[in-house]
Amino acid sequence: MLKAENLVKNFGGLRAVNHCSIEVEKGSIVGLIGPNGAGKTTLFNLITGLYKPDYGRVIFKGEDITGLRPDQIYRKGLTRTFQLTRELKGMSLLENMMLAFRNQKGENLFKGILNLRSVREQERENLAKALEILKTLGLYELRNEYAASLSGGQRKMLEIGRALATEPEMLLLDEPTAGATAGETGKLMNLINNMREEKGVTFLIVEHKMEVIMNLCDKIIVMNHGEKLAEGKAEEIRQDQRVREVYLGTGA
Amino acid sequence: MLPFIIGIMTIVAIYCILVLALNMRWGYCGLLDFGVAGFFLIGAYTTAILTSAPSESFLFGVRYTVGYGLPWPIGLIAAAAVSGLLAFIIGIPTLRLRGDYLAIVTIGVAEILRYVAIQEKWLTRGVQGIRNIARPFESFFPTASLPSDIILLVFTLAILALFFLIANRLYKSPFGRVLRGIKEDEVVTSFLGKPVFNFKMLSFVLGGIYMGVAGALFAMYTTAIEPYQFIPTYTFLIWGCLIVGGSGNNWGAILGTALITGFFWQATRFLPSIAGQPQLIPALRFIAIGVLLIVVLRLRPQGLLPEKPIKVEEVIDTDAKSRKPG
Amino acid sequence: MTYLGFGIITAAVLALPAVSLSLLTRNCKFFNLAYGDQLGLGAYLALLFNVSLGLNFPASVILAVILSAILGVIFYRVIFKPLREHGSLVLLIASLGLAFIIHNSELAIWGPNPQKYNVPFEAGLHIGPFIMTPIQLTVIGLSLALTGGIFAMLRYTGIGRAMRATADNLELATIRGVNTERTFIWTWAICSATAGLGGVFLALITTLTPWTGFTTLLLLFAALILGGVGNLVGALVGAIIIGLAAECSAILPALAPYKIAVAFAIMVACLLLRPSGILGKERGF
Repeated sequence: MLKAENLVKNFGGLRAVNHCSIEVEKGSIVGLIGPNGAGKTTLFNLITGLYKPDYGRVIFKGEDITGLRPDQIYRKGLTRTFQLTRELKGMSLLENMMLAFRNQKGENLFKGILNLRSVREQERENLAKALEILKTLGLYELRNEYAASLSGGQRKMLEIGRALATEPEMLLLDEPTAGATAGETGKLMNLINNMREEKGVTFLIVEHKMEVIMNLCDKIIVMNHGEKLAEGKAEEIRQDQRVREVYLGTGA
Repeated sequence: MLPFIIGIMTIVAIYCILVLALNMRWGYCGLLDFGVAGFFLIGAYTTAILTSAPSESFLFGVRYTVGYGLPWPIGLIAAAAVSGLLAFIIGIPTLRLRGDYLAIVTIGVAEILRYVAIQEKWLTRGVQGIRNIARPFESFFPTASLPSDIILLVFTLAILALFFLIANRLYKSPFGRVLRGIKEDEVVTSFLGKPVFNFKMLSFVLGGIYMGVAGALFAMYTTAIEPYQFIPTYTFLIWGCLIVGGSGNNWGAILGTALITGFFWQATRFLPSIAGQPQLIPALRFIAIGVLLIVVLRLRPQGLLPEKPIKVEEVIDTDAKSRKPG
Repeated sequence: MTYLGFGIITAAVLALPAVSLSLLTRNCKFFNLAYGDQLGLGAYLALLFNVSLGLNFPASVILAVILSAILGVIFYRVIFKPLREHGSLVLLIASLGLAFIIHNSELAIWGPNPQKYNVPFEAGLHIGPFIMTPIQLTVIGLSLALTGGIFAMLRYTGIGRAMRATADNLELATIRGVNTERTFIWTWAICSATAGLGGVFLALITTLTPWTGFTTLLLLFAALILGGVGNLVGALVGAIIIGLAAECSAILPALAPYKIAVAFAIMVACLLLRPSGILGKERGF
């Protein structure tokens, strides 16, 4: 589904990603772990178009998407969330959600002004979908509140909700459970599993919480110093000596 | 007295169009446009050149004719088109960059356009300006008469009403939603699949069209224009109206314009000029506006009428109700 | 050749404000649109002391510079510091308001006509292929010297280091014990003082009207963008290029009134081809 080949990214004199190659099979849930500064978020940014790699390629569904803009990559079916949630603070939760849907006819200038029936119908459909997602995430009551007024955990939920609204084929999640309670984490894990079962969504997840990684992921990739250190199933990674060294005492 | 009031209402209405345009660029989309006077100028001069009666101009001893005497609708449409085109041209290099850069480029472009108006006498008659600009329905209502003023006011208000409805509709529409998303966080909006540059460009060009039309109306209102009417001071005045009235809110835009243009600017014309210092009162007026702007930014940055939050369900419901065939 | 001479003078006179503006922009993280009018204000203050109050010229200039510095700090404390939390765009708008106030105050008090200082008329000296008056030479010399002084200050003095630290990373600087408020005050004082002085120099070599400040602002920003925003050496290089290009373009008579347009065209070309400027952004802005 997703292949990153030999990606390199330099920032000034610092090499953040150093010839990193990873592969994610369709329908799988892959975890990406590594200490802070290992280059995980940079890798995400390279894959999703925020940065252009200095070298290397990104292939999605067999198509070379290297260097495409984020909105173009969205249209291919790849969505991401952010580690530090980027909700649109001055807009309501519903508006945040409505913005995420695909192929909105009303976004065309003329159709928007004329407010054609097709536009209104689509808005109604999207609204229903948005409310559905908000209910699943427990945010329905807050739907008209400004996103700025949410708590940390709620903001994470909104971030995920928005990602769901994009109806992605593949979802890149950057620390989705950071700051979430145990209950919220459990809910999220169920959500991810359901999406994989029901809609066949592929996942690549950056995580620090080991129970999430171990229980959720088919495969785990470990990064360090911008390189891929190790790759394999949960048990293999747990036993891997190099991984244990890197995580000295972090509770692998 | 009546012509005076009609005159004020007309100029306030024209400025309202400018402020609405600025609101679409800045209030909706977060584009910093400090070159409003430039778009205003281009609209006014396009109309003036196309519709004024032919007149003479001299440049380096060569005699030129300025003014094609075309009918006023052509002047109006051309003003909109040229201003929109200017927005497009400016937008291509600058909309990809940080907002601050757009600010600087727009200031510069507006000033350069003004220099062109002063220098290129073969096109604009320089500082003499262009006179005898056609008014709508001139053949029925000769210019410099009360009926002509009233017709122009009605015409201007009609255009203002149309533009206001369009602007409001856009705000609530998905298109407007994307613009607001861009203002909040351009990167996220891009990740949600919106081609940000295209939307910015549309917002910018639409604003340009509005401002061009306002310029055309202004030319018709004064029937004689000259470069000094488009100094950066007026850009600043429009910003003042928007900030004080409430950026993001179209009713706020109208309110701010009525207050600042109507009261501050026009009404203080009643104050007597101090002998020997003809520039004192006007300058004091503008100083007062500058101070007011800073005070508003400090104390009530959202303006008099803050941005109305959108309740999506309500918007969709009202649409449904108002369209029920029965 | 005279064009080149004007070009050199203009470049030198632009250099000091350009570098100062770059310093101010980099430290305060917004484009101060009132800076041009701070130049104009300095020039008008010197006029006040020199012509209206009859003081000799050097004393007038010194007083004007000091007053400019004080006013700069007042602007910071009253307008820009309280608005800092709202972001660079709001600060930009506020600076526009301030520019407006200064401009119209000048217009109200002195009127739109060009003003001149009480300085003796001097004959031009022949310096190589150029003809320049002693005043022009003094202006060039002082401008360049003071520009160098700014670089030296940043490199070698404590306050200079503090300025660099706060520009780089405000939080880190505060944690490390730098008195950031005092640094800001000094930044505004120094940059406003140089603006005032730069304004006087400008008034000496061209005409002084309430519009002078604003027009110069456009040239200064063109210089900054050309050299790379946030890059002080870039600002210097930009000022030299803009100054020379603007004046030398007058060689073509059709272009003579469009000096600013030339500077602008260069700036826009730069934005199109290399938005980070010739020397690139030294620090993030």
